[in-house]
Amino acid sequence: MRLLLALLLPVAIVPAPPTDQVVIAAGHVDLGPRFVDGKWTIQVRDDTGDPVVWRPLENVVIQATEKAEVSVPTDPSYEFLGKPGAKVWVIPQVQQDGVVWPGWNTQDTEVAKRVDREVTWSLHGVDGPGTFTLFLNSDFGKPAPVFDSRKPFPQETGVDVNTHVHGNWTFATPGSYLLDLSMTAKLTDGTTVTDRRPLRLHAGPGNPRDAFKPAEGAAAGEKAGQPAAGQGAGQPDAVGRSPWPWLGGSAALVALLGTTYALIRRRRA
Amino acid sequence: MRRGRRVTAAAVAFVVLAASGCAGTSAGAGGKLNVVATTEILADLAQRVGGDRVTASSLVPAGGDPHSYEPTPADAKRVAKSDVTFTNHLLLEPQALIKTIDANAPKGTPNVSLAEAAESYGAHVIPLVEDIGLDVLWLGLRVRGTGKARGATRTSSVQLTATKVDGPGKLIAYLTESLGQPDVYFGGPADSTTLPPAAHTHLNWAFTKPGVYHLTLEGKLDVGEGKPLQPLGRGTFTFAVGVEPHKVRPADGGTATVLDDGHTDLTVDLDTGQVYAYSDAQRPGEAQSAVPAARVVIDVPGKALETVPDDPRFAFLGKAGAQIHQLPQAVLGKHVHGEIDPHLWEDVANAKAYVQLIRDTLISVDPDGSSTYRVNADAYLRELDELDSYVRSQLTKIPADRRQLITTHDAFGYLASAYGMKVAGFVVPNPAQEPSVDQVRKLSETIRNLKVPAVFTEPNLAQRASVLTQVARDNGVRVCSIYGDSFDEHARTYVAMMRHNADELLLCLGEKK
Repeated sequence: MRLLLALLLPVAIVPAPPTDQVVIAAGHVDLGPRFVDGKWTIQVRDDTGDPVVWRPLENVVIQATEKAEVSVPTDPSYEFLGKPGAKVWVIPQVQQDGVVWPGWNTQDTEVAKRVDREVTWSLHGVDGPGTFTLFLNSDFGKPAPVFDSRKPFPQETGVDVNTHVHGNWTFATPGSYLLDLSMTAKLTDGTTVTDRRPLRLHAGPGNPRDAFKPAEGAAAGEKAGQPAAGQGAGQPDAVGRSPWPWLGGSAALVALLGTTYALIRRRRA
Repeated sequence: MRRGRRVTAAAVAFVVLAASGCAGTSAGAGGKLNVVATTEILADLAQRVGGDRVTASSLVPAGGDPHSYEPTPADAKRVAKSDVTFTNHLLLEPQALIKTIDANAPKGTPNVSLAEAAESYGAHVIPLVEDIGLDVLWLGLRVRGTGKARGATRTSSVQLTATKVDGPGKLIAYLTESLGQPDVYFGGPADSTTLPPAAHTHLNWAFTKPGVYHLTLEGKLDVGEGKPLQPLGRGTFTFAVGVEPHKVRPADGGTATVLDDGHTDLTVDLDTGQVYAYSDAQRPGEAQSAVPAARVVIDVPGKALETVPDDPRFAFLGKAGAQIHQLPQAVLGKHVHGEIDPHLWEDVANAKAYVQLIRDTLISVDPDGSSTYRVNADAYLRELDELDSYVRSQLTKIPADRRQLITTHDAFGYLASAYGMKVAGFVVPNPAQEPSVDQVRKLSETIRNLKVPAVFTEPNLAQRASVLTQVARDNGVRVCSIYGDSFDEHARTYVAMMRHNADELLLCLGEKK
């Protein structure tokens, strides 16, 4: 009886520690800059559990499940998504039950206080099996594009400071997508800060954890100087098999930096 | 890059001054520093700081409009002879004017764009609003709390019903989905919607006629399993559509909290059962606020006027081409990425930042004049402090429900922000543009609905004034005049123009009819 009662009460889901690799397929998350140990860093704010957790971008896959699958409408304004009737995976701008709701915000207290007016959000490349777009619904539903993987890179948009926004994230083909993102801002003290790293997403069928694969090198490198962190399930394959060669390169670089950092720390200690 | 230029300028300045000291060959008359600015306002500030050591002049002639000014070959020559050049910022001056300066300013002399550089002197900068229709309250629906005490679970839902709606026209709350399909929540065929606990959604709030509307929202908890719905609470929100919100009484008849900016959700609280407006903090660090429904007046201003599209899916809003007021479901795209409103001086505190930047620039070119520039700037800054107090005290006298500014162009955002006024409308954002039929129609509607006591033309924008004057005459509204970007024969200094603006605004808006 007591057990039954407990089931009926809303149970606060204790979130996985931010060091774990997690797939988020439902609930609210935001992409946004923070000052992590004083360093401007893009992270994911995970509102799906209690308490709220900020996660390193490297440890998150945002998944558009089968619930996000729709058909391209006949309205010509949407032909950028494909032929009418074609399948497309759309994470909507407005919350939809059972579909992850990713937005972006510049509301972290320190960010809101220190950033001068706006953050520049840039997309430097997309690696995935199909077209990726991010668009907003403006007046009377007309789509207003923010990013489109078919257009030349880098692409950029402005995010006003102390704001929180949602858009429509679309994927033309199922599979894993890596967005090479940066966020840059001028601070009120006149200095400029920037951070660039990949955001992983997965659309439709397939194992969303595949999106972690090419990142293993980077993750391992970053952890080099830290105590062993909790590892998520599904040990990914070696970096060498990565279908994202550019990322393999940057991952190696990050790994190198991580090692160097570890060495310096050791020497100081 | 600007900083780099200034450092070089300081080094080169030594050479320039050494030359002028020996032979008097400096460009300026009588060995004075020759300062060229784009506008008379900037030249005035520079002259006040420079005093006897400086000759400051403006490229845009007296009474000219900087937005549409076309530089002449003579201007290029003047720039070439300058020791220092001051511009404001692109979007005030046209590109051709900026280019004339950049191309002709002698190498190594400071060429300072005041608006941006003044930020490091404490200037307050406003991002440029691109779509004025998005510069309104962002209004959604929300369910807060867990409802544990009422037996709510994660699978429970909350039914929100518009139990009563009244107003001169229809109130329609709807959501346009990702692929353009509208979904009506309230006011159309459906008057009820369901949200899960801890959810929120953004909606379009459309009103088919201007006036005052009341919306009574009631929340009921559905714990499922066929159990009856549990009533939570209800509350009545008030909307001021196209009309001055401070003249509108909230549902409880008391003093209203007017919501006209930022992000607010009409909220049902699962724990307390209350219905209230839940607003994001306006500034970082401030608390979110909850105002009971009966105290709230939501401003749906003239800026929110929209034309119903020629699309059968939106026929529930009215005939194609009909004018409605609408708070949009998303307000992103309101600002132009990277651009700022260039009219900083309409806030006296910003003019003070300009003065300090001008002082330091002049010192970098003419270090011998350092003490003179400091003394002049200090005296002028004190005068500007007095001016700021004067403008503030004059505008404070205008009653809260009469602070709407309607002008020829969008030059008064800083004045509004600094001194508690509100920009209700303008003929065109930038006077270099022609107003469209739609813009003129929107302006007429705004003036008619708001019943403003007066509208304001600018002396240098006679052409744009004809549109505003006509609309005002049609509506029996007084036409007054304030200074935006330029002086005229009556106001020859920045201080005089700001004093005039304060006096004129009080005279034209402050008196009861």
